[in-house]
Amino acid sequence: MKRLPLVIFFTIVILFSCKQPHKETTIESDIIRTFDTTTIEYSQHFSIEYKNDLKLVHIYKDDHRKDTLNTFVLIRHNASIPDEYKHAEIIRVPLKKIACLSTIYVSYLSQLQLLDRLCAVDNSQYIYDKTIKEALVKNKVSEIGSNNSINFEKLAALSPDVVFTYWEQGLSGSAKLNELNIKPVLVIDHLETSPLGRAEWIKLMAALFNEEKNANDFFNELKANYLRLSKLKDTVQTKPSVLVGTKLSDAWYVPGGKSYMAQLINDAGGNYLWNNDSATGSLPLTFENVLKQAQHADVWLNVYQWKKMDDVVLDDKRYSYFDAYNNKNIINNNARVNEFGGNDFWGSGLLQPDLVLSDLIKIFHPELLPDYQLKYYKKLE
Amino acid sequence: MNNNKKYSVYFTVLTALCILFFVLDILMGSVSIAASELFSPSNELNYNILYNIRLPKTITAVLTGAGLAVCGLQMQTLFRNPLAGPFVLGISSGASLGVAILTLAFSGSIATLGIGGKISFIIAAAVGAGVALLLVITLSKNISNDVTVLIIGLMVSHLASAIEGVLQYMSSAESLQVFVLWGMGNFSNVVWDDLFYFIPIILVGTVITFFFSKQLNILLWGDNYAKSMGINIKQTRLYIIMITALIAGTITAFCGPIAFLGVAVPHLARSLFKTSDHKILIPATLLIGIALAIVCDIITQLPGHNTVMPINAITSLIGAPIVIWAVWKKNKYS
Amino acid sequence: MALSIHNLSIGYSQQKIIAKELNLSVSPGELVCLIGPNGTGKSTLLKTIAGLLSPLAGEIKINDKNILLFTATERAKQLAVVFTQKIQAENLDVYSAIATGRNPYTGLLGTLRKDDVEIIQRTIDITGLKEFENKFVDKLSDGEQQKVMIGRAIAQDCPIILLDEPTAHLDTVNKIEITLLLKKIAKEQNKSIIISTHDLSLALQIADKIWLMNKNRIAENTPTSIVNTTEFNEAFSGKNFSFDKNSFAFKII
Repeated sequence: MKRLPLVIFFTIVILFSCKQPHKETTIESDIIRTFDTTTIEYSQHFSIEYKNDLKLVHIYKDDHRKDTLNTFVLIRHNASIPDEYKHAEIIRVPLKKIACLSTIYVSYLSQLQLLDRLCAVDNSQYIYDKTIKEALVKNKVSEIGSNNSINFEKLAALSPDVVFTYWEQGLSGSAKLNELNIKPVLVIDHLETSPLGRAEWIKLMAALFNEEKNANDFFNELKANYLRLSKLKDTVQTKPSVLVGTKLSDAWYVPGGKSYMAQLINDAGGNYLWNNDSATGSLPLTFENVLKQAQHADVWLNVYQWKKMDDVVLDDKRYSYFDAYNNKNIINNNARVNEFGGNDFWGSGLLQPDLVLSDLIKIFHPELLPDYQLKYYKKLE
Repeated sequence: MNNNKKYSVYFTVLTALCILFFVLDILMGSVSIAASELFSPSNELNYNILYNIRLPKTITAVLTGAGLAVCGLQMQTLFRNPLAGPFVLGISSGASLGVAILTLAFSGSIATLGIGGKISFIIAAAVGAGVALLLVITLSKNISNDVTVLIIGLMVSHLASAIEGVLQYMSSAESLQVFVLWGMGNFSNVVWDDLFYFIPIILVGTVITFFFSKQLNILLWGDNYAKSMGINIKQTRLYIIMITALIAGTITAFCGPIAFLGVAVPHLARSLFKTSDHKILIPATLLIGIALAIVCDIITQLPGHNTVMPINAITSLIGAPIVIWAVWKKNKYS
Repeated sequence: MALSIHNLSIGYSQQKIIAKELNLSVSPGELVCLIGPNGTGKSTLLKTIAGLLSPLAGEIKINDKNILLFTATERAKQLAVVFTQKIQAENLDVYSAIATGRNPYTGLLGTLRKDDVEIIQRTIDITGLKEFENKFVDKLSDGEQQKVMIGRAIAQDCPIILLDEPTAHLDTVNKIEITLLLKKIAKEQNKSIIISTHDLSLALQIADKIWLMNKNRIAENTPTSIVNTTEFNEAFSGKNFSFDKNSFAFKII
């Protein structure tokens, strides 16, 4: 069952949460120039505070920054720990070695040119990017399994400073990691509702390596791109209506109206059919409910493993009641999937929401980006 | 005998309830549709919802409720154990394993196998169910303790699940996803084409079971008595295993594992009808099973709620207390 | 002879033969009591005769036909058995329990015909269970339950009935009542009845024939003769007690 999280978890949970990002965080006057700094603009679930010779990182369970999941104090290797932080979770930066238990964290490292610091991943099968894979082979990066089946012996032998892993309720591994003196950083980027907020988690990774400048350069360009692209929607007259997902077992998990996916669709000038809904996660709807709401939807996105139009009705004949099926307007986010099912949409796509947005704009309004080629999306044959 | 009068009243009431629930299940759902639409749907959407979504789902609930309940009854008699049932004794897990081997061997979805796939799916599930049941019976031979037999059943069940887990570990993410979803159990994925196989198998299975009611009545007396009364135990047992494996396997193939219906319903039938005669108990469990399964299905999609609840949560929520009550009642008197 | 046994060896395997070279016979209307110390194989013998265990050697004949040649149903029409174990069926009423005995005679669905019903009614009358007819078996007293078990065997309407310690858990009155009932059935219906029992005095008083089982062998004799045999003394006397042939009771010395 160890891959259940990867397959279901990411496909469903990813659609979690959304709130308009309110700008905020660090107070400029407090910043001591011994570190490059960064400002968190979109993320609702973590903050970085710069103080005298140290950085304070908070990770929040809720999107109001109240319920703290974790607090870390980042201090340089030789610096002494101030008394008030004697009992805090200390992480010495820059990290020398890190283990990443999800593909997306490897993408952060790759983007920051820090792959040489990576000592272990959960399972390299799901990594789509060939250059990353080659680097993993070259750097002899080990595979240690994910949350429920971490190979602790191997991990202890590798002794990374930090393990990046996603947070789950009742995660059993983190106590063990603490015991082994390896700091788990529980990442909850999947709870971010804003595409930019989710990509912004690269800044947390950067802070651990004192690479804020690098991350800022990357993020600022990404942000500018994203904002520029999302303005294009203002020029369109009609917005195509959009349906997302397929039925899984007895429920059709539709991304909520304030979810990550809903925001991408709206920013791309699509008319997401559950826009009025206030959920940040996904809604388990009945088939008939989705049919009623979306039978005339213009575009149908993110349909899991379907590749051809034939797959649709072979899966369940009743999908043919949707106009999008009859108009052959089903576009899946599986253009970049490797032989093990590792999907780059949930890899580099999370770090490049501007490209995902471009894909969606191209799908909804091809005339806006005439020369653009779809990267993550592919129409069903 | 006035018992017959009592039985016919019960059967009439139960049949009426089944029909009522059936209609309710078709009329109720997250999309509200007027009852008048039932006979002349005003648009294609309503037609599709009523006749292609809700009707097959309700029929599936009927088949599952009837089939699992009858299987549960047969197993409780065969094992002379009030806790026996398809879910508890490893039949469902065995069927799952059969399907897992098939799915993962073809490393694709049920869908890509096409119609021939449906049949191979059913066969794989039935064979898996039969093997698990045979294993439990062989291992629990000469064991008269209810709990021991149950533990063996649970262990066989876990064994099957474990093998499944190992298979999943070695499989690709894509076929795994299909399988994991199927493993959650549901009534709503069955379409008319499936019912073409599903209905006759359950129908034939339950009718054959009815013709075994005499043998089942005598099996209640234990193997020695049954043999002394002219029953060929080995043969009878094998037939009953084959029927239950076919019924439970088919249900598992179409709906995934469905919890508790099989073990709970026979208790309701016994305490309502106050008889041990399978000629009465089989139709009684059948009807109660149908009614209960439809009620569970109605609860998963309560009107006014857009969301759907997992069927297994509902069947367990209703079934587990019934089983607890049955065990409590039994041990209170003995 | 209703039942005849020739050179029979019994046991669970050739390595564990419990008794051998048994030669026994029972006539119609004869009540046989099988006695002997614990563990000598009384149940094994009954199970072998009932066809639940295969003979290791020799043969068992009913009306001169080897029982191995009977089909299960044919045998069930010749031979009914009452075992020691209690049945645990829930909601089983007395009438249905006794009706179960008709199994070898009924059709596919076990529907009772007119003559089946008559036999069942007659059995209920004989066993004195009329007032309990609609009661559930598991709600009856031990004695009543045992009558139901015997009633079921009677309803099976066989020339031979085997009973494995039918009075083991009963009080004295019930014990005597049931034994007399069996005697009556043997005489009135001309059936051969074989009872295994530990109640020596009752057995000697009521049986037409005694099978004394001890040390891998069975001595067959009338009650009055068997008490004078060395086998009997061997089996039923100790350092400071013996069985008194005149009073049919044990005496402590």
